[in-house]
Amino acid sequence: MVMEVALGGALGAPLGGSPAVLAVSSKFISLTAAGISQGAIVALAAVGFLLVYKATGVVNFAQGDLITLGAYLALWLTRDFDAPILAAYAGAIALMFLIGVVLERVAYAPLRGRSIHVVVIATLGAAIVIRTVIALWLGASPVALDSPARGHLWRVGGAAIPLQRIVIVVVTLLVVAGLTWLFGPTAFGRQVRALAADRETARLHGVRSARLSMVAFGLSAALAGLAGVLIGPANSSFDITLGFSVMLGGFAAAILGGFGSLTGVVIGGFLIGLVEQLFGGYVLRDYRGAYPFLLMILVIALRPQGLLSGRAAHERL
Amino acid sequence: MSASEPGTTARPEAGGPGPAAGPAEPPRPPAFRGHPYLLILAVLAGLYLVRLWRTEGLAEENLFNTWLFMSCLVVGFWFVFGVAGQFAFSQAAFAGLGAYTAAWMTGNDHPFELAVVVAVLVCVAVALVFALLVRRAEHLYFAIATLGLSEVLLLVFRSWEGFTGGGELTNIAPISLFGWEVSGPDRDQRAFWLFLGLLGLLLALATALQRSPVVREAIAVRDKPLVAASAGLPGVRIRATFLALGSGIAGLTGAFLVHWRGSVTTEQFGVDLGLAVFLMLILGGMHSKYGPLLGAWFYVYVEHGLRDSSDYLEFLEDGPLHGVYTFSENLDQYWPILYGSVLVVVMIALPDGLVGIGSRLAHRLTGAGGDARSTGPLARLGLTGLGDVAARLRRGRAAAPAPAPDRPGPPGAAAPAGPDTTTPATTDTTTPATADTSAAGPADEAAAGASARAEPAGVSSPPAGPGSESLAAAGGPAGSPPAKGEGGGSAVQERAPAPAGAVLTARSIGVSFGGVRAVDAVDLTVGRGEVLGLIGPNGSGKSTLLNAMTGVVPAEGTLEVAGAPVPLGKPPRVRRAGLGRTYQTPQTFTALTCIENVLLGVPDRRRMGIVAGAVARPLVLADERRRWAAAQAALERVGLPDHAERPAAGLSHRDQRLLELARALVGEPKVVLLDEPSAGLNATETEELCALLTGLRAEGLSLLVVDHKIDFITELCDRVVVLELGRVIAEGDPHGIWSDQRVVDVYLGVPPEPADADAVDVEAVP
Repeated sequence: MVMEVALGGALGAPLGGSPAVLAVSSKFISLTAAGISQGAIVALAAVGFLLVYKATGVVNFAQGDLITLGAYLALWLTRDFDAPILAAYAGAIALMFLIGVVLERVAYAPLRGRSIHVVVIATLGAAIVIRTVIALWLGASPVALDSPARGHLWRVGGAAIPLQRIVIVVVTLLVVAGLTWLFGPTAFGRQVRALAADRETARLHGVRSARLSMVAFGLSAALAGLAGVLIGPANSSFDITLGFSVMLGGFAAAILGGFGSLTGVVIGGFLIGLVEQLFGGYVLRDYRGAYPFLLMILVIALRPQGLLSGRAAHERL
Repeated sequence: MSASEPGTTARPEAGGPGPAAGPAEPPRPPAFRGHPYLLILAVLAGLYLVRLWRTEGLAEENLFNTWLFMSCLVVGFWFVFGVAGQFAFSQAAFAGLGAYTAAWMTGNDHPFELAVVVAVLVCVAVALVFALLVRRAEHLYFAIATLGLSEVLLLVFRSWEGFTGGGELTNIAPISLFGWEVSGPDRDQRAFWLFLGLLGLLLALATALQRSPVVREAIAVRDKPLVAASAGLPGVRIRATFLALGSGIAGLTGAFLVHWRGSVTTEQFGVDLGLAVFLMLILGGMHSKYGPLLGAWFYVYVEHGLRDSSDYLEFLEDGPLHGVYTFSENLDQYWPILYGSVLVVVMIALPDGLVGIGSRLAHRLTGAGGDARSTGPLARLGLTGLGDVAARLRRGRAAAPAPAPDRPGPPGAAAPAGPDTTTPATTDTTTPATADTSAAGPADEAAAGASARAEPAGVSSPPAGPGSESLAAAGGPAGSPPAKGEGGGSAVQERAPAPAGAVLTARSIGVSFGGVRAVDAVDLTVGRGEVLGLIGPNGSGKSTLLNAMTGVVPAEGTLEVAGAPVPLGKPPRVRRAGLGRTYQTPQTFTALTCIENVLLGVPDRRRMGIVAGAVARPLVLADERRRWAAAQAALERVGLPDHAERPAAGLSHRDQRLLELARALVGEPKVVLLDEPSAGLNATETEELCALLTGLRAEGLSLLVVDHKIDFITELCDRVVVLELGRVIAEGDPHGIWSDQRVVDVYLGVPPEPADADAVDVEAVP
């Protein structure tokens, strides 16, 4: 099952004379790889809510629990229907799209144009409901989701990198490229940008903001589903808090990148992953989970507009 | 610590109800009247009776104590979110910090009293550091940052073995306050007295602060941070104070909780409780300090009730739901669904919470006015608070003014050729203002404007020396009652320290929005006692220039007020230097009364903090009386003498403008910037405003007026500066300016067409 890669041997050979150096470098490599894949996970979670934020101005704090729901839907499809794993993934993502559309109608349409307080608290309320429904339906005990890449390792310079994590990095980059295109030259992107610039004028010019909002929520939930079926198997097991903690990292990444920028959030995500894994790999390992948030608070203190962008930061807040 | 303690706090408050104590003494502000502490005692007594009447057995007593404990925690959060509007998810985590700190202290054989004090201090310190770090964060960022802080604290609880024992602690010593232990057979009885006393103390503290200036200021900072800053309020300090206060209370309750329960786990302080605190506050009603009691009751008792409703659900399962759905064994598993849904529904449909419903009903029944400073829909918080003002001010720019270039002007650069200000009596140049002459004004001006336009050949170059010609023009149709003129003379002498020359000197003011140069190297001087008009087409940068000078948009350039350099980008300092302002859309604080709006602008800020508000009541009362008198005088000055205790929410557009003006005037400013003061006013109201402003000028006040009503500008101003595309294109006498072809061109386009001057008023606010 283990996939040996020639590159790993090639890199390892010159250093082979000194096991200590090899150990140090392999630790560095594996931490870097973990950081990059952690960053990809965070970024994948974050692009989902950025999509909705850019299209509707709603910051969806329930996005993390939608990610959890995506993972559990895939689990349910494989467990109860014996669906092939990739079909279960596809089914989960499709179901998530529908759930997103329904949620938009039921829970989020009434929130449009409300103050940020109302939106944050109501979406957090929705998050609790989603999480509890999952727990009641499929149980709160830890579960594991299968994946074709599960168990495969990629050896680089003495470090073993789970293939699932490489898949996540690749998919994240593809998704971001796709979203960048979607927000760019497409009709969808034009309408979204028009709404972002001036909601009323855009509507007067025929932009169907309600339909756009439904599409955005559907796509966002589908992205959450995609994130769920990818992130779930990256953990040996997970429970109903899977998405929420990933989501917090996603918010931190969004702040680092200057809320609203897709490129920014990806770079912010990688930065968070690398700081958590690389810095946390060497210093106060028990507390490395705190590093993303300390970094975020530091960025808010020093550069509240985000590391990259000067202007997107506080738009519409 | 017993339930009767709040009563002792109440004693100094026994002032006579009703208005002023004597004719000579300034009136007792309404916050100092009445007996609100009696209500607290009544509530506590009611709680005691409910416990006697309804509570039997250990389980129920325990539940009752949990309710009181949660109420205390949420009252703490009421300070953070209900009063100061800060979106903090960290309340539960701070309770945890207090709990673990206190447990660590007592675990190391320190007395419980010391442990509680240390726990509170640790929480206050962490909250202050955090608040200062994220001081520039707006609502959403602040919310996310507090979520992050919660995660960090929880991680510390879980990982720091030496401090928290890995999160799980048992066998914690019982509460022992000066020998009085919460243990033994009547443990729950004693815990009840303890939490009842704690709740009473916290409610008394809330009342004391509501009756001191600090809550008024916190509400202002919450609702309109930028306007509050421009009125001179230290927003960061006020927000940090309230976060620290609420977090300290959280630490206090946490410390009591662990020593009451005897054990602690990390999970109980997670984000779930942080969100539950929101639910309790919002459901109960965040605008009343008693709301937390109702919200906590719902949270504690409904969850418990769910657990006890299995009989009913078994009936459902056997009957209508047979074979369709089987309920979970543990019914409290459904609890999060219920409270999550309640949260969503309440946020959408019931933003004022249960107390809000109650007070609305009471309103309808009695027709009595509520407590204006603490009532009002939640929507106001976010919508008018930020969405409206800030968007308008910043035009989509980053919220926090970036650290502005802090370049004081060259010291010798005070404007050289100001008007001869040794004559405070501009009154002698005024003509008697009667309704007739004012009414005649517009027609005259229209004629003058028309004639000016008719001969565009006579282009006059803008006068070179800013300020130098102002007195020449001061003979314009200004009006002031003689009596006011005399009063004004003395006012000028009081404000004497400013050197002769310009009161306001702005040099090379520049503002860029992205690639747009909204204001480009504008120099501006307002002479002493001068009224300078600033006109220009829409988008020419007038309001942006005002915002730049008052520090609410990032700008470069230098600013001097009365010869002293003032750093740009710091609204409170600009205000303290003597620069007042009003806004294009009137910015009043609708959650406050009229006089409270004006009080915000009073520069005397002694004893405004929470410590003074809580313990130094007589001194605060004396200060408040003085401030109150000043604010009342400002209200009278603008013609709103009877409005003091009316809520600002119901004011007409005109009165809102006047109220705003009173707030700008109360600090005895050296110069007031008026942004379209006549917008939205009808002809009569505009005339009245013109007479009022002319009277202020006669008292020696300098004004910078942006407006679109040409007759208003012509009648009022000594000198006019015309702005176009962020640059000054002309400057001069308000009558002569219309003979400048460039001015005519920018206003009317090329070729010029005759137009009604009134029609230019297109930015009138609905």
